[in-house]
Amino acid sequence: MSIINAQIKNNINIFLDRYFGAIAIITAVIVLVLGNLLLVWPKYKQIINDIESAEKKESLDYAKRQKYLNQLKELKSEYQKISQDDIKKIEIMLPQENNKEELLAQMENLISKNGFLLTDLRVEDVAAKQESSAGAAKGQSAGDKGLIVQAAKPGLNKVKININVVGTDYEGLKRLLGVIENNLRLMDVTNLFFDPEGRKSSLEMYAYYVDRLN
Amino acid sequence: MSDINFLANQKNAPKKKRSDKGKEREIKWTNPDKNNVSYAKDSDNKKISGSKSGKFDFFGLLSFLKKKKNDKESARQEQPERYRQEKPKPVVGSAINEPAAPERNKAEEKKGHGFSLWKEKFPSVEKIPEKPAPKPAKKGINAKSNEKRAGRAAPKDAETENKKQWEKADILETNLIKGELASFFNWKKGILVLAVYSVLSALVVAGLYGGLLFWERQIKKEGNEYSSRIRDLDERVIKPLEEEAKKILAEQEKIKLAEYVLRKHIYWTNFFKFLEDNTLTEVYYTSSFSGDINGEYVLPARAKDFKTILEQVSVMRANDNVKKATVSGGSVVSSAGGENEKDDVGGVNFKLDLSINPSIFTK
Repeated sequence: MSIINAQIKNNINIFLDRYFGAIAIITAVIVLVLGNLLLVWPKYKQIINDIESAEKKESLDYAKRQKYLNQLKELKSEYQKISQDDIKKIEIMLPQENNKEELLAQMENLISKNGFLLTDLRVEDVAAKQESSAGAAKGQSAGDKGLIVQAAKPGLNKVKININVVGTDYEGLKRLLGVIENNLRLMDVTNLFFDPEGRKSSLEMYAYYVDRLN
Repeated sequence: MSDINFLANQKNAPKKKRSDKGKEREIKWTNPDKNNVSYAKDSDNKKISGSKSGKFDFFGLLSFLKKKKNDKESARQEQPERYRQEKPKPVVGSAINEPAAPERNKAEEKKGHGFSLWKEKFPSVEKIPEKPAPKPAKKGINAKSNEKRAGRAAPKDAETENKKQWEKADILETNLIKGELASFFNWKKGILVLAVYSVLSALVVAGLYGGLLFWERQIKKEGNEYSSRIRDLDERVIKPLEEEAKKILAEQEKIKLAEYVLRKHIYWTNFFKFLEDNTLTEVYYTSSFSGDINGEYVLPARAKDFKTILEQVSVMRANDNVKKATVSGGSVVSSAGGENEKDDVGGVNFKLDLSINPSIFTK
């Protein structure tokens, strides 16, 4: 039995002696292949995936930014088409500040310049809540019919102006109304009282201003 | 592997050159006298060495047979002349005098050279029991024969003995243990080599992995650089444009509001123009006017007669902007008794209920 074992052992040893170089190379190749399969290849795939996702994200980001930039440029070019005079006119039409004193002076100048005598002038702010409650109290009002400018419009505010003018006949009233209507600072007369016999007239009107933007 | 010198103790002895084989073979004649002596000595030595090894000497029990043989040999030696007269046998294949070993001796040598020589060559594999000190020769026939042989061999000098042994080594220049040779594998060395190969392969893999890590780091670095470049570009190009765009958007919003306000702008002059256009020349408005932009009015007026009032209402109703135009009655005013100039004209005072479309103010 021991002789057989020795023979087997001997054969094994001979085999190892003969093919040890090949065994060593095969072992090295196995280690290489396993290492590559288990470590290198997954890492390589992960890097490739990362690169692809990053490229996709960057290209999307780039396209988004490019679009945004184009929009900005387009907006700027459109804005540059508007003349500065028009922009100034708009600034006068709808000032960004509620300067009551300036409004008072402007009204006096407007009325006196046309030969009328201004007897009373009042300016008061109209809050959005007041406007809505007043509109509700009136019921079927002009505001409901879409005539009066809604103060609830975002960014738009109203100022109520009451004036009493003396020395106006019918023609004078029409001229006064025309002056107010065509004034660059927009004002809407909502209530009118005209007494041709007493040559008196009372006007209730609204002027507008916008909130300071930015 | 197959050429093994079985006379390892004579390694340093000068070997016979193989080129001798090419020479013309010479026929040498054996010297049975000498050979027999040497073989007899060998066999005795083996016996002695066998007994020395401490193992059971089976052949020792058969010493009586050897005794006979030894007796024969001694008889031969006693009659050398007779042996010399016999025709000598030729030996082929050797340039030197080579003793032809008898058949029995070859068989014994084959037997003996199997494991015992293997053990001699690879002593580390199996423990070789230490040979005990040489025991005194056994009593009996063997001892006697040894003494006799020793006595015979004594006169021969050592040189001759060595020469004979050397010649015998040439005779055994064949692999007698083919297939029985044990092969050994140096496991330590093998494992070390395998480990070195594996480590080298692992180093290659580690190098590749390290390269990938380095590549990944480079890519991330490039990505960060790209991101920083994008941020710089944002700061230099997009941020100022955004600031400008905010102002533009604010202006746009203002323009939209201005457009809205303008669309709702009220023109009272439109209303008065409407009244002028739709009032007959025989009708005029007498009293004060009060109204808003709802489009509902009560206009006090005077007409020449009721027929004129009818015509006036008809004209009003004919206008598309008029929703309702009614007169509920009128009072006749005499031309003489009036306080004012208007009363002097005379006519019919009436109140015109007028409902118009408020959109007239914004057209």
